[in-house]
Amino acid sequence: MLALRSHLQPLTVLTVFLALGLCSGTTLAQTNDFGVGGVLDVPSARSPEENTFSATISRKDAFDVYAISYQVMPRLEASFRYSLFNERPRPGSFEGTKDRSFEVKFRLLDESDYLPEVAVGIRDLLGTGVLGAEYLVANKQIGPLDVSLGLGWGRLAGRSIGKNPLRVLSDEFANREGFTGFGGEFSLKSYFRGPDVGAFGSVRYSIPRWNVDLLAAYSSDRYDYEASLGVFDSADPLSVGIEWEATPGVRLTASWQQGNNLALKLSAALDTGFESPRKPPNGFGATNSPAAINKRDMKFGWFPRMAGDAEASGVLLRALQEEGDGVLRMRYSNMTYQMEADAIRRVMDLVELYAPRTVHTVELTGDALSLPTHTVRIVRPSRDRELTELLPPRISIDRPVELERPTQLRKFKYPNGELSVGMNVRTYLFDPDAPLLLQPSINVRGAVDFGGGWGLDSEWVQSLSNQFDRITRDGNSQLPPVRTELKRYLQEGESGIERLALLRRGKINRDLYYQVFGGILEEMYSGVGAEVLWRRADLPFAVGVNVMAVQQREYDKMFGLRDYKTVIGHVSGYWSTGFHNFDVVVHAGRYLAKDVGATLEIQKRFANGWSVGAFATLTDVPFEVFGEGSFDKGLIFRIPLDSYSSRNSRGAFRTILRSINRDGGRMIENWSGQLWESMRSTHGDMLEDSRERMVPTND
Amino acid sequence: MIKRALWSLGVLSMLLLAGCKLVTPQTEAVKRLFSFKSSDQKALEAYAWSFSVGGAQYRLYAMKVEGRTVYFRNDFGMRVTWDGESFISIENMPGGFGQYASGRELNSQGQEQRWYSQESFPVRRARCTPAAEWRLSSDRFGWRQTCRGEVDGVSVVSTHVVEYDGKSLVREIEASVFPGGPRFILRRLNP
Repeated sequence: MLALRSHLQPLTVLTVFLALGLCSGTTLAQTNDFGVGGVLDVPSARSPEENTFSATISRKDAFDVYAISYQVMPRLEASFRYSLFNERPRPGSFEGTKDRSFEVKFRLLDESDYLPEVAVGIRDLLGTGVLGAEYLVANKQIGPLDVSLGLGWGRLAGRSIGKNPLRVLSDEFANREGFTGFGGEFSLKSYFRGPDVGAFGSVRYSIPRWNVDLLAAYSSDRYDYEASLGVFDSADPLSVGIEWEATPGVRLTASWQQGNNLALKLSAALDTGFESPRKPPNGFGATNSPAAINKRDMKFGWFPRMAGDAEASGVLLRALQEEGDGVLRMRYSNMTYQMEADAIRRVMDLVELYAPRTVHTVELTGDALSLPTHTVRIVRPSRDRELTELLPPRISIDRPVELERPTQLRKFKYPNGELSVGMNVRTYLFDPDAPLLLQPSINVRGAVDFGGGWGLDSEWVQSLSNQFDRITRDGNSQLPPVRTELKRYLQEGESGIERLALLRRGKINRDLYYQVFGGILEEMYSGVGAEVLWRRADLPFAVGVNVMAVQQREYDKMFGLRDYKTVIGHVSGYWSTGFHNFDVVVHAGRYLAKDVGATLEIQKRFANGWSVGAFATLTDVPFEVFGEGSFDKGLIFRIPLDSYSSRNSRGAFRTILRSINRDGGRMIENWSGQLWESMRSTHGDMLEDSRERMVPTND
Repeated sequence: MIKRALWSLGVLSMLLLAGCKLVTPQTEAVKRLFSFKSSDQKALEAYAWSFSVGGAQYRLYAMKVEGRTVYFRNDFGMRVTWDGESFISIENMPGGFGQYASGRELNSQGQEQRWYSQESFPVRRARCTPAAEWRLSSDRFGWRQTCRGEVDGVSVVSTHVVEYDGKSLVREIEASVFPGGPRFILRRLNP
């Protein structure tokens, strides 16, 4: 599992998503105050298109909500939210709780001429139950009016209209458990239970000319918990508001809620499965590239010239093999393009410009982590340009073919390396005493390639300022504190070595990859380890094994080590299902706290570089020993940066959003499963999805 | 403090919107009110063309016209000449493309043919059909011709196309670098 700064990033993620959504929002998501499809404080049956990601910030007297939502499948919507109750307390009111909750909504029926759209949802699937409610809701569009009507359980049964109809199935449905402790577990004795049900509804009146919707909602939630805090004396069921779509995907709502307070909401949505536009090369071929002809390369024929132009535009052509059979074989490395297909397209453009007409087929072997991962064979476009338009080139994607007798080699000097300096803002989140603490820093990253598969990877974090001295809570774990001493790392090691590892990567045979590494592996651990991965570019599954002997680092994040040491290892199975872009990964083995178990990871991955997913780890640690949250789980995100820039870039913002940082089921971050993760974009299915981008067109 | 920070993040995100994508009619109108381009730049934009080849794209400006010959160039020293039928010279194209020239000659049978010279490559030749007119609509018409030749011992075919707009001004010129090679496409950016 790839885990990056797991415990700290969530609100940053939310903010980034909001910003990105605001920049590129192109999709419709009409979210309610909780971040799922709905109107004001009630849900509706409406949900956005599949793969829509939305972020919502709403504030009102009762609670502020920070939510991210994802349309996982055409009918399934999921949302994670952080709610802060009574954030602006009036005199005499009590401090409210801060709650994490996870909502799912499933569309049961699509709208037709006569039937409404119908959905069922659970508002607090794994949380404490403070927002616990379930609903069955229907929507019907009548001209510009979108009308919804629903039945609610839990909080949404506060204004009862009758007995719970599910009691006909069993009397147990009459009883509902209240708050469910530390959360993290399914509350099967709460869902759709309780003596009564309530009825709620909403109306959305659209005025497209102004990009405005007028809203009204009747809520069956009496807001008893908020009233008990003294937020208000009573809550009126009726709320009204106005929603403005500022730009496509970005919506701003002002409303008068519960009959006594002004509420505001900002939401942004984007389509994670969009086809990213192809950009011109950064260097050679860019509009403003200078006229700099390399006269030295001119003397050596077409390959050095082509390789020079390829390198200037972000692709290394490492070797060429031409045997007079009309097949041009080349080894290339994509240094710049988010989509491998764009790197291939760049090479094909240059092949057309430079390679002899006797070449009828081009065989390109690409790599990841400098290890050959795939070969794309392209029958060159017809020499008859008119025929080309009728007969597109034939493309096949296969396992990597090594160049056995390269006729030309680009020689690179070793060692070579690169240094990059970037700004970062680290966040510490969800601490009840301080839900958001920040540390702006400068991160200096260096990578050295010694040749022969040897390399060095390093990163130094230089803190500019931080608020982590305000953290007061300790980990109070019953397990070895393999992660819960985070506070000390943050406070005593605000600047330090993040990573300093020597590694060697290679291939044992055509489909078997390995890496061995040692040094400072991550913020909290040093050690040595090895990983082996069997994968074929043309098969949807792969198998890997990794073993690491690690020792906990001193809190100052320099070279010192603490006493705690252990050996961890996992057998991993990877499967790119081809079903709605889902990848399924299972890691089984021993974790940092010496617990044994397995991690299930499900992610939706797109050729554009986006991935969104979730994971859960169950080990032999009992839930009560694990503590709050019951077991380790979280959300995984990878956002390609080039989608939001005019330049090509392989960069991405990757993170894991964990609602709580505990010790059970934890791995070494960044290293476990790294081979698969790094090679994923060069896998056959990803290349197949973007094969049309590989060949030059008339544009 | 915390709630202020959280809310500020939201507001900041909203502001980022404005910086990232100004698509609303209101903001576009404001942008038009405050155009910072100099009058010289604006005048130059009327002569801007895009020149693409091999996946690269450059901006050129039509600087001079002599008879049917048009001279294009840009700030980075790139120069392209079009003689009304084909590109007869390209200089200072970035990268390894080198100097380029093209022209007409008579072959041993006295037939007219075209030659293509690219620095460090052997000269390639082709014979082209007379230009044939085409018309899709009153503002979309032009001429095209087919050129056949032998490059690297392989028989190849390519086409040259010129398209005019409703005012009979050239909208797009398309020609192959050499027979069977990729295409140069020169497209007027501002009608």
